[in-house]
Amino acid sequence: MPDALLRVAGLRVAFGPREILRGVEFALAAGESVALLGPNGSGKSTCLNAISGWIAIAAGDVEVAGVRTSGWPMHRVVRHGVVQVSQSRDLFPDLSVEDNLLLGGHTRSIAENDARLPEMYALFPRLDERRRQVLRTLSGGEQQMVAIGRALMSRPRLLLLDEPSGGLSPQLVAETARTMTALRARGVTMLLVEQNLGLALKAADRYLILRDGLVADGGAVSARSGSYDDIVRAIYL
Amino acid sequence: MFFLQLALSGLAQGAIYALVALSMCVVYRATTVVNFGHGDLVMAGAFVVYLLVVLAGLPFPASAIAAVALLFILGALIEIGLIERIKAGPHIGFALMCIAVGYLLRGAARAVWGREVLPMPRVFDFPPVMLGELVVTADALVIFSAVGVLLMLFFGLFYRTSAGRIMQAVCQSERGAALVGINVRAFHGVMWGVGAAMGAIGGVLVAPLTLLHPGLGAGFLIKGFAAMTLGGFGSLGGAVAGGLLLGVAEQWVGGYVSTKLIDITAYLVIILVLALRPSGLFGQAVAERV
Ligand SMILES: Nc1ncnc2c1ncn2[C@@H]1O[C@H](COP(=O)(O)OP(=O)(O)OP(=O)(O)O)[C@@H](O)[C@H]1O
Ligand SMILES: [Mg+2]
Repeated sequence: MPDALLRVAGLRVAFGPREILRGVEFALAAGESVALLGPNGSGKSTCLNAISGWIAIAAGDVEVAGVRTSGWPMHRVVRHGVVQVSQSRDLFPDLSVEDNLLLGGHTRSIAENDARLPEMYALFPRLDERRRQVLRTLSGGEQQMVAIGRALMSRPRLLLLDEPSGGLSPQLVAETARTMTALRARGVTMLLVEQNLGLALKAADRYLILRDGLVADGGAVSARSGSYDDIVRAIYL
Repeated sequence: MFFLQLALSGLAQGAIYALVALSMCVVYRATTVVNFGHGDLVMAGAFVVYLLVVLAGLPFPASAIAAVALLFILGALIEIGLIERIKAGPHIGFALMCIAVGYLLRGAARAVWGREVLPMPRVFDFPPVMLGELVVTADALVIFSAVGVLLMLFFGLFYRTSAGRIMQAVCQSERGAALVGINVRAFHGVMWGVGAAMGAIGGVLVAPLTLLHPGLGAGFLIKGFAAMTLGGFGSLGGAVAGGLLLGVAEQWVGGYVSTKLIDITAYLVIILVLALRPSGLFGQAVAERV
């Protein structure tokens, strides 16, 4: 992929003596949406955390828009346009919904932020009704919307999503699916970690399977016809 | 009348405690570090003012500004140079580091100052104001106005501006702050600077009122802790309220029980509050952030 937006090469991450990632390689083109799949504990979150600069890597390269970002602190990676929605969400519990969103765009000008806010409320009408509500009083699903909205406020060139459907009811998963589709239609480049295969493959152009610290498999979503059996087998067997 | 007069001088004293407690609370909330050397930063503020006024002959206002600026830089340097490096380690490391730095400052002051107690010339030298039968001394007036303006500035900034929103955000979730592009390490340095500067203002205000000595900080540290405990450890508004209450309590205890008890009021407050109402008078449970 010559004009890759994200290029990950030889990525190794270890926690103490345990090597979690052992040379992960992949690339994302601009506008592409890719699902990163794998069983629990296979290192999906670790991979996103390494790209976003939250954890230190042992070896390898991460390149975004032609600039090597590995080794940068997280805030600098964010300012370069890579924004993560972490698995634990990491919102600001005692601030209002609106303040949480505004902080997402604090690296941008006030004018840009003000213009961006209505777009977020259009994407998540539920948040519009709860602008002044303190975040900790929101339901899990609503908090997830704030987490995604906060990430989008800075107009990232690459969005890293870690289990957007985690802990949500089937109805909210369906809503999340609609959000993903909307993001995809806007051409947001996404690397998506998701346990819900139906949602993952609806939102992605391509999938990658992480196993034993390596990208073990992958392919285009369009190439398959409805049944995910072979993917499930590739992930878990 | 005696009751109110005591309360008034208690409030003046308490305003300083409030400032010191708030400054410790700022550091604690922003970085989760309890600075056991904070009293010595207060002392350092007073010490620098003394040096500039008495030895360098500078006017008090200029000396005060210089001292506060210097302590801001010192606070930021302590955090960036010493605390941030051991951030991944256990909490006890922060405590030991803070104590060591505090004693180092105390030792440095002693090396210059010697062991004597130093009086500074009076600065706030204007006649007291009468409020009915209550006497408001010049010192109390200066303290009330300085601390009042400072508190309004601080809380206005913290709760009403976008810079304050960023401060609140980092206090609530460091990872969340990093996720939106805030440089959390730099923020920690700045907040230590702010805490040290606010503590130094306390030192600058008391410098002309008390006898100065290198061990001055120890008392402020314990009063700061007592005020924070009283107001609910970690609560910014609570630290201020706790400081004012402690100042008044000391004067009442001194006036009605025995002046000998003034110095142990703070310890009693800490023991009683922790034993009876650990979340502080205002009952706000503060979760420990690790
Ligand atoms: N900070 C850390 N320190 C030590 N071990 C860690 C750390 N973070 C992750 N691990 C370990 O690395 C492995 C991969 O974790 P990771 O969170 O990346 O998995 P995951 O694929 O996201 O799993 P899940 O689907 O459950 O979210 C796990 O065994 C985990 O225990
Ligand atoms: Mg995970």
